[in-house]
Amino acid sequence: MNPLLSVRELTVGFETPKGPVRVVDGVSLELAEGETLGLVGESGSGKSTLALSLGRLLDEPPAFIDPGSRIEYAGVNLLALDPERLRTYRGKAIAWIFQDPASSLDPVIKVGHQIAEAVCAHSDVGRKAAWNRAVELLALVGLNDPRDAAHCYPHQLSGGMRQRVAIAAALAGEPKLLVADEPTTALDVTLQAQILALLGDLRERLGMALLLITHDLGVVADIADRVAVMYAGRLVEEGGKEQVLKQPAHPYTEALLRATPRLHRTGPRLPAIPGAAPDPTSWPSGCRFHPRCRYAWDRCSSEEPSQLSGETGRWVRCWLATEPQRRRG
Amino acid sequence: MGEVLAGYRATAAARMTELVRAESLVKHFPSGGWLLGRRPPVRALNGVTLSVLRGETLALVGESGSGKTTLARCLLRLTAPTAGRVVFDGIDLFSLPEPEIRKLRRRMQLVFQDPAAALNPRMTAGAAIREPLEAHGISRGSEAKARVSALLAEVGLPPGLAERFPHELSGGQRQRVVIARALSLEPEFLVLDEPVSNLDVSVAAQILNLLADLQEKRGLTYLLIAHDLSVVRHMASRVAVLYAGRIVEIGPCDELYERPLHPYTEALLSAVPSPDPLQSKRRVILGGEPPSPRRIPAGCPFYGRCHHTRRDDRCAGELPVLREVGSAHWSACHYAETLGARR
Repeated sequence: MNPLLSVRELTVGFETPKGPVRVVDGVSLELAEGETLGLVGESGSGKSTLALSLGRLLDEPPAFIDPGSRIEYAGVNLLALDPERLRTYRGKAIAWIFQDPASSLDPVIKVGHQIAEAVCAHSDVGRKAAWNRAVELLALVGLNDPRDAAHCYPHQLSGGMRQRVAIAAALAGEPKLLVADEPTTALDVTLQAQILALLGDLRERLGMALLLITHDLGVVADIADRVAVMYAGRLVEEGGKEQVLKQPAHPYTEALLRATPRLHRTGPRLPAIPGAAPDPTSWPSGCRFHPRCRYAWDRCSSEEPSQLSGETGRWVRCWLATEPQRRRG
Repeated sequence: MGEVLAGYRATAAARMTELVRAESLVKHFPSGGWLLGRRPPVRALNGVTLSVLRGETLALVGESGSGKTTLARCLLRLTAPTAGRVVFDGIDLFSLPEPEIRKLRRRMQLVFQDPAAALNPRMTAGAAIREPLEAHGISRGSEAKARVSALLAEVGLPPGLAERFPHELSGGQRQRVVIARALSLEPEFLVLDEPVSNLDVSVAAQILNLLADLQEKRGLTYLLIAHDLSVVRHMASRVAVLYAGRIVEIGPCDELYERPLHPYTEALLSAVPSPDPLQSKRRVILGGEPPSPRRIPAGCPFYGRCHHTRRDDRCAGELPVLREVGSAHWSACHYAETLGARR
């Protein structure tokens, strides 16, 4: 079966006074219909730039997408489309939700109108029908009184309700793929659990694929089928959720899991990762994680590993895969 | 409220080691005015009594709007309560004349959530740390400079960093500078308001370890405000759970996490996603949202969202009093015992 989304050697950067800076560097990934891929990374890893570049939502310039890159949606290379054609894919094929729902909603327009507007943009319906569809969408995302809520302005809703509205607006074009960039990071844990349950439920009911971008390994464990880990502009590991979270192959994933505080693990000292994430203006030589890696040896600083695969859909970008005995000690 | 106070008396031993005490704190913010019309006040705190013991880390947890930050601001005398007292080391904070307050201020400091906002962008890291030293007349000139270097070293930063501006520092480095600045006056009591919520996991772990080291070395007392319950588990000795401006449960950290005795605490804990995919997902997904602080219902404020099997008319009509339900473990649920027994 052909994948719904296939990203090949995607390189995205920004022109800066100091020259071009590649923030996403040769990333390849695939997403099947109805599948949920968790993309994990810390700030500066390039994960949000990747999310935006999928619909060419970045201003070019200063952003640029390397000509060798391909983003195929259902077999169509989105990067080869003219702007007019590309627009028909945004919202209808791929839709986005972001961390801060307030920023994607207009403060002076009733939320019902905002969603109805999105409905009209994607299909040829009258205003009345669009409004009714907006109310339906608000009910779909679990608002108690969708009719009343449609008449509210964003500031009259709580943070959790605003995120539901943003999701409803994203669903207006009936997308096959929802890209959710840190959708629960700004919310309390109780609301986070509600929104994650909602996303899981919508995915089932609408048969949507979900690209969930997060720094939180707990969120990934909750909802993803597969997990890809991003560090310094590169994917470093990919696999099934349980493989990656139970048997991380890359030292970065391993260290991240160890540094994550757990509810049922006590003790004041956490095994922190030394140093800080590198700056995109000067990625380290060799493996980009080597300065912070507990296993690094001379080869790691001079030569960058390629994607070394084990079984299908499971690979790691680390020399340890060729010399597993080094993992001990 | 009087009942709450009577019901929550610290033991004599605890009182001896107590550093800060809040007594029946109430804070209502008036709202409305000529433009918006009369609206009910925001009832941020509705009778909170608690003690922070010397050398401990007391965590305040709860959803946004539960009153965590307002409580912390009252304890630091940054905002005056509508009713109630705050006692710091035996001194009533709100009956003290201004010059005395100045001396007391040095003993209590606040570490903010967002280190980028807490630092003046036009001031170097060194100047930011030196400023309180000079403002309080503790040291100046070369002496102050030496102290800045010592403080930088204490928070794990190289001395050369003193010349850098905030935008030249990473998020973790900025948070270390904020901590060094808070430590410059040699405080005993630090309020940590979401100290790692803006940091990446790998950096957050470094800062949490630093805070633990500093507490051990300097004998600091922490009040930790955090929405991340996993972070609280690592840091806190005791935990107070706030809901709608009231403490609904307070107890030793391990005890409270392993055996929560309030349905709200139970729901909060079960909402935390675990990175362990095999962990059983017996989750209580809490529906709805906390009551508006303008319209807190009568009876138990958690009634509308409660999943406790024993929930009944008594809960709807009668406000539960915080009472001791285990060793140093207090709950404000009429049916706390049956919640624990069910497991």
